[in-house]
Amino acid sequence: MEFTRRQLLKFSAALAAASAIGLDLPLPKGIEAAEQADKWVKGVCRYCGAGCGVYVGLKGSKVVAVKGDKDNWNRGLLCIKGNFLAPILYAADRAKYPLLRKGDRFERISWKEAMDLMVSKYAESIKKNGVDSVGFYGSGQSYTEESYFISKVFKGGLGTNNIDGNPRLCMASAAVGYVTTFGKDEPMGAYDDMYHADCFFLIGSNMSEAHPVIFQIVNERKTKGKDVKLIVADPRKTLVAKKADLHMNFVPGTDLAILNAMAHVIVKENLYNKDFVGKHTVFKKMVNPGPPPKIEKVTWDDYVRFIEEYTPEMAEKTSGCPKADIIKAARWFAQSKATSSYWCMGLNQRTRGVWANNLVHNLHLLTGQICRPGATSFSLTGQPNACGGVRDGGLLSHLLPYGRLIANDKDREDMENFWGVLKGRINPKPGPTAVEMFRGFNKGDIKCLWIACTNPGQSLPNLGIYRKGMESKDTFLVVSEAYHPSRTSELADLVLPAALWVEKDGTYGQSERRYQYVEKAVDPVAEARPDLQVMIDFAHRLFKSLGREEEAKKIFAYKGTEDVWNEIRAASKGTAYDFTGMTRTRLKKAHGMQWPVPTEDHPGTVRRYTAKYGDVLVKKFDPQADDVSFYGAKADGNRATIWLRPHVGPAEPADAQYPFVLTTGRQLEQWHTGTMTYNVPELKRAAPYGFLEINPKDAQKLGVKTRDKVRITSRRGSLVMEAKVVDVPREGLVYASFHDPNKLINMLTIDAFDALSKQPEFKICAVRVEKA
Amino acid sequence: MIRSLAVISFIFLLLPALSFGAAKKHPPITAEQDCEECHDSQAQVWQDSKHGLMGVKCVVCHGDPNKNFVAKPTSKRCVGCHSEQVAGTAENHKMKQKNCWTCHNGHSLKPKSAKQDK
Repeated sequence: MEFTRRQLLKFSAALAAASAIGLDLPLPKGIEAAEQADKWVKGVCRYCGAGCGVYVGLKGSKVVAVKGDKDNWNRGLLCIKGNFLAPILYAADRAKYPLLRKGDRFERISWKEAMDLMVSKYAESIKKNGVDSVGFYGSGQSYTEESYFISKVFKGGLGTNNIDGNPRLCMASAAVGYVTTFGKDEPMGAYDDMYHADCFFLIGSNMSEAHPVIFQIVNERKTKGKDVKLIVADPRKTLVAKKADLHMNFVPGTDLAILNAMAHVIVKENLYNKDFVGKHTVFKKMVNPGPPPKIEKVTWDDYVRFIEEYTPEMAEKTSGCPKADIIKAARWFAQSKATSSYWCMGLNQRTRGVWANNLVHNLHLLTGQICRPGATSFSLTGQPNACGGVRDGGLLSHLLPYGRLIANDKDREDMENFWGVLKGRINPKPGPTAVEMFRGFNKGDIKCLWIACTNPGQSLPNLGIYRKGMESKDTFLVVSEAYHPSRTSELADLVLPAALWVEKDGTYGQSERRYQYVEKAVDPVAEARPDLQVMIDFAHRLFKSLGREEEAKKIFAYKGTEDVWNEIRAASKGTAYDFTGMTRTRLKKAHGMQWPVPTEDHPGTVRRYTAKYGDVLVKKFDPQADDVSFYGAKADGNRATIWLRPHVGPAEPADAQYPFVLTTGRQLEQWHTGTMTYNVPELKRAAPYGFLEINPKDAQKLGVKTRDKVRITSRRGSLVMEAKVVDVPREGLVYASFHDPNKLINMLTIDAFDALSKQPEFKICAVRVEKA
Repeated sequence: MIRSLAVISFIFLLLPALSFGAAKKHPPITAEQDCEECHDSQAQVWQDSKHGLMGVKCVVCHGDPNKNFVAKPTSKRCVGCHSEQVAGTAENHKMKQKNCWTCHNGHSLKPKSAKQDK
């Protein structure tokens, strides 16, 4: 019920009159949402990796409102998507019952029938073809308890590393970038650094649309702070680029040259921090790409010789970014009191994504702009629990929990002992990564695949070939989804209806190492079930089918999420992640806690690798350190690595046949593959469909104006979209979001991937554009 | 007594005001149509505001014109980010602060001491 100003005036008069005679009129319903909710339950936003704290408002058994948590890092602020979270639970296309494919349609079946079928298919395949014939594809949107548990089932229980997840598509390069530079994954800094930085260096991050609340804080600092500089390096004039003091516009895929040129200026102009470099860094280069890559330690002099060729002039010639901008950016970066860098998919979704990450870290290490308030090198994240569940929890096919590696003998032995499984159970060979896994499914090497909480039928690159594999009749595809049909569930053999967000409880870990508990607020819709419940049921049934029932009872003895969480805390003990002290009770009360939290009286750690600013693990791992210690890099004497990474261009640059570069990204009002956001009328109205951004000069040459239909074609596929002629992409660049399920832009993108992180190059492929 | 009867009569006259009617309807629009096409001046004021910069778009307050349009939004649209302030207005039974727009201009959302807008 709505309430107009005129009605308010009338009511006010009535209320005044009633008061005069002692009557107590109730406030009209609908006047404020705060009154509609009987109860507020603490949680976390379901969308991006910013991880905004929220309160979920309940009226009876229904979620009616969401408000920001003023005591969390987001200070009560939400973006437009977060404001409209409640309707995602009540969408008409929620998956309500298990569904079995019968030819071209789906038929409702019982949970028992669904689980019996799934288990029989998996067991049959394992008995006939071995454990590497089955797999699991997970998500940075699952709760940590879900990702940890299923990883244990596959790696520790079955002994296969055929398990990977969608963070491979969005942040694997950031993870490998942190590991190769600092020895361990995850940022050392926090959002709090935004309040202390006087120079922001954003590269490959459109935070004004992808992380709006973070953008709000940066913009606030820019507006209110004295002499705060904002540098944005991006081939598009995004909103944040328009707010910048310096917008470094460049040809897509040439930023490695720019980053090396900034280092060149810093060294040549003697702006580097000799003391920091001397105490805390080593230098390395890759002499042979392998696999495995051969790495060699080199010297400062080698590094200086390496960056000699990356003059600002050379970088300008390579990138199109004016040399004056490169010089100015380098000086501001080095000379500011505190510089914070932020990046996201623009660096990560690249065939040289890891190298690009390393080169940003290089700038911080050279200048000592790191490990103190405001000075940090920070990768932003796309999904709410890619960090907490998939990176930290070790779901990816090369990882084990909390910084341990599949390829490391001691790490495998540690986890085998911890999980109580046979020595040698964990396969020493890292499993297939996302694209490799779907290639394996196409070929039939993997015969049974379970996809949970993600939508690869829309989000994989070079989508056409992988969709064919997913709809093959020769393999068995199970999809756990909250919505049906999605562009993945429509291809499934079996659809399992999944509980969504506050229909279940669990832990999310966002970009700044902040773990937050999401409380269950309402029961799942219809017959939907929490994924963890389904996973535990599956594990027990499967092991029974394999004659390992007793073992399953021992290693999968969980009653609920808290049992799993307690095991997870124990798995982190003694590692660089140590959050043993982050009990469920503490998480319920806190507005998130940042690891390390090694004891139950520890408040959490805002900044890592610095004893001076509160990281107690410095003294544990490096007792001699007086302040900064990159203790994740023990083999390098607790020093970080400055890498000699040459500029290498993209896998598929524009050419005469395909003269435009296509880059893909995000829109403010939509999220991921749109299964949730397109279900919210207000968001759908604000951003109803995907379109292709074209620079006005290119549009003129093509004879295209806004709302004309254009055909966009790559070597892999073709699509007709509506044009939006706008001075945002640079000339030669076109841009589309990947949200719209009816405009599958990933039919065109390339599945070439980074040799180190295996993350595909969504950001760059060659296309041609013509009026349709 | 006569005074009390007069007041009670006054209340009964005003009670229809409590039957809050449906929101004013918006003419149907197509997916391609933007709010700016017809509401350019309001959109410009909003665009130049802090809420405009942060992408708190028309739909946040006014809903989808075809599905849940609200011509004159209530403060409940502000709860997402400003729950304390909204609760403050709701708890004030004297209704001195009626809703967010009592003190903030319609589309700039600036305090009313600032320059007026549409």
